[in-house]
Amino acid sequence: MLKQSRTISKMQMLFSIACFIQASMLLTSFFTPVGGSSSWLAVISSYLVFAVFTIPLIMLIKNFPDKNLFQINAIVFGKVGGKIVSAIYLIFFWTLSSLNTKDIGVFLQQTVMTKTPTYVTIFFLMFLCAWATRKGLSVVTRYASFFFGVSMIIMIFSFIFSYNLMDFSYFLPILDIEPIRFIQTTNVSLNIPLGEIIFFLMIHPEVRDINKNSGKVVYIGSFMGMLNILLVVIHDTAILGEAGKLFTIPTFETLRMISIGDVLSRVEILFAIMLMLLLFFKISFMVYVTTISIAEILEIKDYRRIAFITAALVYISSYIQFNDSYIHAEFGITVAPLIWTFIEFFLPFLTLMIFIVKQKYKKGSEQTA
Amino acid sequence: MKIFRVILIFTMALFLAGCWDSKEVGDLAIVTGMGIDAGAEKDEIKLVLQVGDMSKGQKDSQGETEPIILDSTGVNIQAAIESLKIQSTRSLYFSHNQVILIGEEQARRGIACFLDWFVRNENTRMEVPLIVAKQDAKAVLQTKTTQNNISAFAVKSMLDNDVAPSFYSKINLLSFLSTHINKTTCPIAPIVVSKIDSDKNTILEIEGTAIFKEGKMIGELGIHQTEGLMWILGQSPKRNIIVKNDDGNAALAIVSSQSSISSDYIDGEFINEVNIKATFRISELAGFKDKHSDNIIPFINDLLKDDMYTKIGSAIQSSKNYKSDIFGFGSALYKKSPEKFEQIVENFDEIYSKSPYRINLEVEVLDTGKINGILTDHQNKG
Repeated sequence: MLKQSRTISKMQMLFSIACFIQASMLLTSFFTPVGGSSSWLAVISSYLVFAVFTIPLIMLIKNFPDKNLFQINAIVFGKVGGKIVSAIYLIFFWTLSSLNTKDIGVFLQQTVMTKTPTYVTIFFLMFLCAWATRKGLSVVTRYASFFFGVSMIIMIFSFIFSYNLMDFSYFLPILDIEPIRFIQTTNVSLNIPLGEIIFFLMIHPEVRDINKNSGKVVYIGSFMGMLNILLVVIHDTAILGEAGKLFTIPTFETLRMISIGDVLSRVEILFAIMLMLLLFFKISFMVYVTTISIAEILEIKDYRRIAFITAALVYISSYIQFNDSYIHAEFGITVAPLIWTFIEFFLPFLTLMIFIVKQKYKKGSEQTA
Repeated sequence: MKIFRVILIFTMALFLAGCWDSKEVGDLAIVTGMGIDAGAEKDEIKLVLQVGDMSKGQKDSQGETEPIILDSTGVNIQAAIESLKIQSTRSLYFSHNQVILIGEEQARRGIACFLDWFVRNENTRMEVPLIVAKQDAKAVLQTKTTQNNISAFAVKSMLDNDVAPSFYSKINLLSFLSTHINKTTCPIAPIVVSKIDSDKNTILEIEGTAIFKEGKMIGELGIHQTEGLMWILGQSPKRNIIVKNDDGNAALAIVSSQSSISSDYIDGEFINEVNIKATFRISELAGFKDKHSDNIIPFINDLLKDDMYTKIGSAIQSSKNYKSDIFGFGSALYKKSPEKFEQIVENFDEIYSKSPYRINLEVEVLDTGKINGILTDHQNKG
């Protein structure tokens, strides 16, 4: 069993959750074409649904403050059953790590490093991520508050300077969307940025005093992250209106339009920097979690030995996955939210239910005895 | 481990310096203006590029570089660029493009199919103005005005400055695209013409507004109708309004203006309403000898109202004649009542062309400048 010591504070976990969620702002294009001008409402509703759906996750943290998700699985489902369930999570962690790595590679190639092959940029990124992973969670999460602060400042800055480009009538008529499309938008927003915090169930044993106020940490952290996503969606809709659905990275396009006199223009580079910081954080964190997941399943005591191997696996799979960005987007809109719901919310709920039933049964049999 | 780190640092310095495909400024052909004219064949276009020649550093007396005009033909923009690449010794660089000019003939043939390149290309920007050239785009791009050698910059500053109708600065690739994909609103674009003035100087002038429908230019508004359009769209002309009658004339500067449009569909009739509230300051007054200082303001108010009614009404009537809603009345109805909008969207153009409209004007002259009333009136009293 992997030994995890209490190395980070709750505040670090809170900012890590916030950064982790807001790093998905690149993926708003997965749901804005479906939700249109009502996307911002779907983002709010997805947070409300998340607040309910995440209760089992918080209860698992409270009931098992010293055990990570895979260790909880072993307790609840038994040794074999636990390994099977954990293997499902591992595939999920690995897939998401690869997809996010792919995203940053594509983003860099489409925007700032158009002629540099993605395998070069991703190679160095993965090298850094593996290095950070070897140094431990405290290094991976150390700069979360800084990254969050920088990205909030950039977002507020771009909001102020693009205010003259905004037309808030694009939000009218409010909620003019078929219910099924609204549900779909909510589902994508729920699963892709928010539900991914299931990754944190692998590291909560490394957080000091996590058994106290764990709910607060999860809710405030996710709220801060979601607030940034909401700002991005409002910003993009108010500037691009209906045309927003045409762009793969709408926020980047809106920031390209900002110019303050002849003095300041080309400010989209700030967005690129912000996304690189956030995605570097997110991918480092994901690689760390994937590494300790592999170590947990294969019962390797020192996970650091496999950090570079894990990063290499993520690198390779990111390179072979979704070479067509259109199919990637289609997967993100249609298939992923359904599979992700099962892994991010249903499995933890099932785990908690089985645990509660087992506890009751245990108590009942103890009383009978 | 130390050796490993040293190797790593050297590798990163070698591969991540970002200079492996660098190009010196002198090797770039920086595109300052793009024009699309109709080709000889129906399915062919002529792409005209105005390029700043950075290599020569050649400057004229006003300190501006001489632009170079390149052109080539092709079935689409990229095809034309490919043939230009063969001719050009420098790499074409589109990030600093200032304007997209479409020759009138090509605008009437259609531009929808070319929008794709501008939206898709990573070097183009959505805030670049899209303009129709009255003759052809090449003529405008070749124009050297007395104030500016590079016509693309001249046109851009003409659209941006306060003297010309600054609302044109809001008409760019994004606004054109947004209205192009809108179900009912039709795109518009300024019309620019290259002219020789009385002193034999070449000048560029905004001559009106082109109306597009389904990607094709179908008509145009004159300069007075354009003024009406500006009032309706809430972008009052940033210049003095001149009103006159047989007795005299007045120049009035706009102090403030607000406008809104609303639409409704009642009893099978699509009713549109324009509400404008504006305040003015008198810049100049001449004539009106039979008027006194105490009754001149209401008189000027009436003249202003008549002028605005005429221009706004003419703009609306013209757009109805073209069966093209350029003001966004359809969108206003959609935002107010999507159910009612659904009833008319199928047959919108026909319904719009027969729709009645109402113009509500609240006009007030607040300030008479440094003197009260009419100067001639003061003279008579003295």
